[in-house]
Amino acid sequence: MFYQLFRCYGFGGKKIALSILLTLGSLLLVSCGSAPRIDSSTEIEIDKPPVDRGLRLPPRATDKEGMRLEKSASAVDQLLVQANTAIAEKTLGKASALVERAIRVAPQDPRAYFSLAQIRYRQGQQGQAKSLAQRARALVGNDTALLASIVQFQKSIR
Amino acid sequence: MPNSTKASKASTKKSRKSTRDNRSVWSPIYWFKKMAGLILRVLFRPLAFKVYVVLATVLAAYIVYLDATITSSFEGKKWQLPARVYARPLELFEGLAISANEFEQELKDLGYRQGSSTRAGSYYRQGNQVTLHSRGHTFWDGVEAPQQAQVVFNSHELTRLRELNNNALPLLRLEPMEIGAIYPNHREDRVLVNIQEVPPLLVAALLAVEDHRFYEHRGVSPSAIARAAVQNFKSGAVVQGGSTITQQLVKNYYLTRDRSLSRKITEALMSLLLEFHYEKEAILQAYLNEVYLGQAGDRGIHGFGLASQHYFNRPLSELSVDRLALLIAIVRGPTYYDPWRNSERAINRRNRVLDILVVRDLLSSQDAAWAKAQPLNLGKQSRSHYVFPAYIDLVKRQLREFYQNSDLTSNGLKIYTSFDPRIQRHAEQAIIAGLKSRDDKQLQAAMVVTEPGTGEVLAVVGGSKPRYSGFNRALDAKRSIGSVIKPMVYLAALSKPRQYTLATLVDDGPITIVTDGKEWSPRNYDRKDHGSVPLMVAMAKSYNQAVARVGDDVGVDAVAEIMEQLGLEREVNRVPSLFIGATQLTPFEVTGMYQSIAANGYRTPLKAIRAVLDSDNLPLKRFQYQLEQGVDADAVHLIQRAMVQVGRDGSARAARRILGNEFIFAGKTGTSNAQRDSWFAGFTGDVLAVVWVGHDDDSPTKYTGASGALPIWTQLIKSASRRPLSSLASDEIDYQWIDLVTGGRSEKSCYNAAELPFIKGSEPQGIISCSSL
Repeated sequence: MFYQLFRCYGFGGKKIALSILLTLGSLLLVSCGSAPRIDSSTEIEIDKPPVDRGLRLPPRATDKEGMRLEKSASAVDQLLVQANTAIAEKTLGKASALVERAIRVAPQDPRAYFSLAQIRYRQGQQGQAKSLAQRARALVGNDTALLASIVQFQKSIR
Repeated sequence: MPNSTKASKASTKKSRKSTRDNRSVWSPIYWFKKMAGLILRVLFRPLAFKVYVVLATVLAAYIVYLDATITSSFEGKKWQLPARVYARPLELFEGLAISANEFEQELKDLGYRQGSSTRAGSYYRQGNQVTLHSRGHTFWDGVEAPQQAQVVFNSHELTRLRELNNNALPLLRLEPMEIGAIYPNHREDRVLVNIQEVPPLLVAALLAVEDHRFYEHRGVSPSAIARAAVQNFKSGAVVQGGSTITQQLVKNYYLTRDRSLSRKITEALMSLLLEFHYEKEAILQAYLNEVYLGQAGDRGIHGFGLASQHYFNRPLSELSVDRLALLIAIVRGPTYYDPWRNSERAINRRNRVLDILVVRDLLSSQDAAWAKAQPLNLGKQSRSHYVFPAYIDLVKRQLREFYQNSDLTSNGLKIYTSFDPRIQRHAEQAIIAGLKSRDDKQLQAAMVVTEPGTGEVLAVVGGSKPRYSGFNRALDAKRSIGSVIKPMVYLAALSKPRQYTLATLVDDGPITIVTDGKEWSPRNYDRKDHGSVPLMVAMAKSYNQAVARVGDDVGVDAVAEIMEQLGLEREVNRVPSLFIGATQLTPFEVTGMYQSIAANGYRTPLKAIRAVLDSDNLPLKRFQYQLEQGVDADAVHLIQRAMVQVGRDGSARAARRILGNEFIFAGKTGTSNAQRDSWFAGFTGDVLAVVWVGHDDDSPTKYTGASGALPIWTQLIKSASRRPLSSLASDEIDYQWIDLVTGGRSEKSCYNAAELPFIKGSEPQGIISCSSL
């Protein structure tokens, strides 16, 4: 019975199964214990990898890359500052080249895409501006201030 | 010319008249006039006169022609300059995924000197710390100044980037490596140098050795010719030339290499004309760029700028005295003094040049002694052009859409690409090692590697011998794509979230589709039926019967449209066998579709070129980053998850064992009929690669997608990719726990449950408790 229980919950040891049993009591037994899908005598093939129980496509925030992204942030900052200068000087081609460099340095950084969206808008490329803003928005994560600016930009170019 | 003819006629009349008037035989005037008359009569006999006039006219016309030749070609554009193709410049910043060894390799490829970092183009490495002095470069978005910097690495990335005085340095861009050039037919190659930028010692040494009276003569030096004639007479052979720099330039620039007298006369005439029209400096500058200094295959090495790269793999401004002297030595005979083939001869000649410099007070005897003690210090000879033929091929094709061939071979354009030498090296090694381990000598392979976010092409391998040009399979081999098409079929289904989700059960039982009276009954690879399985499982295990059923339901047009929305330009045959990939595409075309899937449905055309500059570094064309929403991003998020499953518990799970459980990637295997084609197409967070393996003659192989192409792909990813796949779900996506056997929504705790993404509202209703499974 205990064995069936931990198999059912996918836990790795009888001790854990036991503690779960003690904490949650018999209710769990009712919901789970009676009909295990795999016969208890069957061993799981070692060769076959276990099913990925909790696998999501990891978003950037929880990715290992999160750290690396922050490290490259100052490089991206520098390029975006230079791009803003170029925009102020009305050299949009140069600004665009600088922001594209930023995208290459950090392909997951929403700021670069948003900046490029604004440049394309100034260049009269509405369609590109929309697509880029959309992409920036998809990458924005939990930066609410940036999200708000992107949303406002999207409204303004509609 | 007409004037002189008139004058001659006039003088003839006058002389006849004067003969009648002075008849005294004793008068000297009589004799003078008589002789003159005789000469003139002979000269101006009707026939001789005509010949004379014709000859004079021809000579004058010839001089006018030579003059025109000189002035028209010497001014303005002097040379046809090939377009040069550059790799991506390496951008250094903290967090860049590169090891100290890889970084050092990059510096070596760029010809950086090891040992100190005092001059531009040098570096010093101590363990994981590198101090370097970059050269600087003019890019399309501005000038990158030379920079001294300190770089620190850990095992896999750059951790610290500072100026030497420890100031912060957010970003440092190295100069790009030249990876090829596009030559005119005669294949003369050169890198233009300006005389102001050439080391003064080089010019001084050139004049000292080749023409020390350059600033005194007017193009031809009679004393030099006389001296040479004496020397040659004494030794009974041609041992010394009396040619000035100007004559050598004329010979190189305008004339053929034969040694006839008439050519010598033409050479002298043109030299005089050249000196008449132009300043000494201009002639010298032209010489520095024109002179023939060696041969690399069928490519002629002209001028000191290119010769410096050719022999030493570094710019002229960075050459030491011994190297400069070697270049001067080679001027006398690039083949005879070829430092690679005739090293002893070259060293002797170089040392002779150094001696002359001492005699002329251009070099101290100590410095000369040091320079003489140096070996030849040649760069790597193997670093020849076209070592990446498949990639250069792609660059040329993309350029041809915008430029005429003549623009490319003559205007000195600079082509900046996204080529990544590090990735290319890994790709080539993966292919070579992957094919070597098979006992099939005919087996061929091709690979295209891109950056998944931007669609920039990083590397291309066109065959089993990547460094040989020839049939570029990556771009030109149209092959049956097999199951590599399945993500497109399922994407067409998942784009209808009311009908299909990753959990939707699909029937993998036998199926026959009838079109126009023709029956088509695909079978599974393992010849088994698998009953009803969730869509994601059918995709991961690559079941043919299930995909045919789903495809039949959504329709072949919907699948073809998805392929088009993903960027495919070729029209595919709209027949049911399309569902299992009975259509022929090139690896490059497959890459294009997978690129859009990797970029969350945004269509980003694959591009190799970032910018084109003219010879004055002015931007001509920018190939700007473009993206367009092709397929719904949420549907793409779902198919990405299914493609991840291919590597977790599907046909590509062998790769998981090598890359590790944590390293998430998405992909799909493909095998065509009778295993004629083996494919794997997949991507991580920073690399997308498509690998094809098969025979050129389309005969069957022993390999499936999983056993042929996948190991090569895995090897590339293992060595070149640093970032596992990540993908941000939009607000429209909900993750739910699903039982992978029944496709029903289950509890997190149930065995065989997996968390799958759903487009909101499409998730199965009602949680089933584990007990009822």
